[in-house]
Amino acid sequence: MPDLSSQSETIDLKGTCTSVAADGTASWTFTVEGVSVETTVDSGGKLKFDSKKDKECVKGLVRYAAIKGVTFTATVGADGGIKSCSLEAWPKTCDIKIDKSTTVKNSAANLFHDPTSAREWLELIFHTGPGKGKEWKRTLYFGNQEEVDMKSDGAETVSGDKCARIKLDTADQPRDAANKIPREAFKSGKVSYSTAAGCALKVDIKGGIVADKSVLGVSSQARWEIECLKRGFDAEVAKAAERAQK
Amino acid sequence: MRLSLPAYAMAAALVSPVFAGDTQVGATVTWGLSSELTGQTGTKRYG
Repeated sequence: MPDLSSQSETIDLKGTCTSVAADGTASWTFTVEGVSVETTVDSGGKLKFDSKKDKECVKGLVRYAAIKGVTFTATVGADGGIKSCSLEAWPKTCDIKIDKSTTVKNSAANLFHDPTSAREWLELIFHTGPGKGKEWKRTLYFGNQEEVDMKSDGAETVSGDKCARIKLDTADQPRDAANKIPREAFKSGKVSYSTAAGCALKVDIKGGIVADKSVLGVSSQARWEIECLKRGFDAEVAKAAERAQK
Repeated sequence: MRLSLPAYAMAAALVSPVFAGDTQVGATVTWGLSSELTGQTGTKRYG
C-alpha cells in the first residue's frame, strides 16, 4: 500500500556582488553557511541532519554534509541569466564522522534525492527577475528547461529593498512539442525581485516533478522557497572593486 | 496629488519592470533556500 513521504532540504547561502561590468554583467561569490535535511514517512520513520547542530551523520547524507562551507563564483547577465558558474557539481564527500546507525535510517538516507544543484538555485535567485513589458516568456531551469509565462504583479518591500513582484506559470505546451510537460507537472509561483540587489529576495514555486528527482514514487509534488535571511552591504568589497577599476 | 520627480520616477520604475542588472557592487544577501518533495511511495520504500 502506498504511503506519503516527504523530503526537505534547506541551504543558507551567502552571496556578495564583487563587480558589475559596463554591460550589466555581475560577478558574485557565494558561500554555503549551513545545510539541513529531513525526511518523514507515514509508515514511521524520520531522519534529520542539521550542519549547525550535528557532528555526525549516516553515510547516505554525507553528500549533504559536504555542502557546508563550499564557496563558488558565478557571473550573471544583465537579464539575470547565469552566464557561468564555477561549481559544476557539489562535492560528494567530507570528513564528517559517520553514524553507523540502523539499516532503516541508512535505507531512508539512500532514498534522499541529491542536493539541488547550485546552478538550479542561482536560476531561481537571478533569472526570475522582471522582463520587458508587463508580460513576458522565459525558459527557466527546474532540473529540466521549462518555458514559463511571467507577468508583473505590483511591488512590495522585502528586507528594506523595494521589490518588483512577479507571477509565473508553466507556459501552455504546443501540441507537437517534442518533450511535452504533462499538466500535473506544471509549475506556478510568485517572486519578489530586488532591482537594487539584482536578485530575488523571495520565491515560492510549487509544481509536479517528472525529472529524475522523483525518487519517492510515480507522483511527486515539489516546492521551492527562497527567503532573504539577511541583506547588507560590504563596503570593503565595493572599495576593492573601485580600486581595481582605476 | 503632486509628486516630486524622484518619487514619480521610483513609482514608475516599480510599476514598469525593467531588466535586472542594477546590481550594486558590495551588495550582500543571505538566502534561505529550501525545497520540499512530497510523494506517494509504492514502488520504493525503506524499512
